[in-house]
Amino acid sequence: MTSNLQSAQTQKIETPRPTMRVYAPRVDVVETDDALTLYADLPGVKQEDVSLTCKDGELILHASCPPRHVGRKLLYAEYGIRDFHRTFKVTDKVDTGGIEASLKDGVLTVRVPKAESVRTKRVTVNGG
Amino acid sequence: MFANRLFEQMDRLFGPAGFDSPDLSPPAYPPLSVWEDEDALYVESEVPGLVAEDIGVSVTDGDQLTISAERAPSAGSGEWLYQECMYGEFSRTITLPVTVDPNAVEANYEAGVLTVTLRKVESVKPRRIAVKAVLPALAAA
Repeated sequence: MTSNLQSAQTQKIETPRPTMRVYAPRVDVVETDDALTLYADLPGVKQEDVSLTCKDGELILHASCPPRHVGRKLLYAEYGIRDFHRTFKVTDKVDTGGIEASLKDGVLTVRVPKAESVRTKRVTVNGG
Repeated sequence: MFANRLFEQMDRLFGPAGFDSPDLSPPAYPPLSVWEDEDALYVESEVPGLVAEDIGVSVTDGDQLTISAERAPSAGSGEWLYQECMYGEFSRTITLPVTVDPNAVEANYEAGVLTVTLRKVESVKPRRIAVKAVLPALAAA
């Protein structure tokens, strides 16, 4: 969903710190020639409640998840409903200024482009 | 191959507690939570990354709820460096604590959360019993 892509203006945002118990979301990381792509499960989270910041060599993901079923009696639970929070180390081999993220069906996709200096260069072999 | 094929799960959520040997099997997927009010049960499951049209929800015998779907990996091409998310087919059946109307089941999938609303049949809904005052004369008689 290209329309949902948003550039991470990371340095302008205060780094959120969890003040209560949080859950670490499940995450996949996939590498391609030009980028690392992170997929994080954030069930129940709305786009406006996701915060993604990059500061001091850390990529910090925080998502607010308000209570659901307020006013109803909880009978049984295999999971709790709390905010999500997770921090990832990033090196200078990635272009933090080019990070893009989108959220769909509870899955956050974060594309972290590699720095130009470490991208795989494909060399054309000329026949002769 | 990155997809994990999950085994079908059959659970009885509200059975009597016992002292069986420790269950070392992995937790059932998808995880479920259940709420209620006077009129309905609300079975919720956190199942991100699905296509709403592909989620199967059915009720049999008035108290057997089955949820099934398949989640495809989010990633396209590339080398997987790390994988924690669950992929593949899943199916889970639970026994509900009360009888529900199988013709009045609603399922909603939003932001990776499936909520199934199951209306209780009239016979299991709580009823307020009017307490009548007994007059002293009648009580003496």
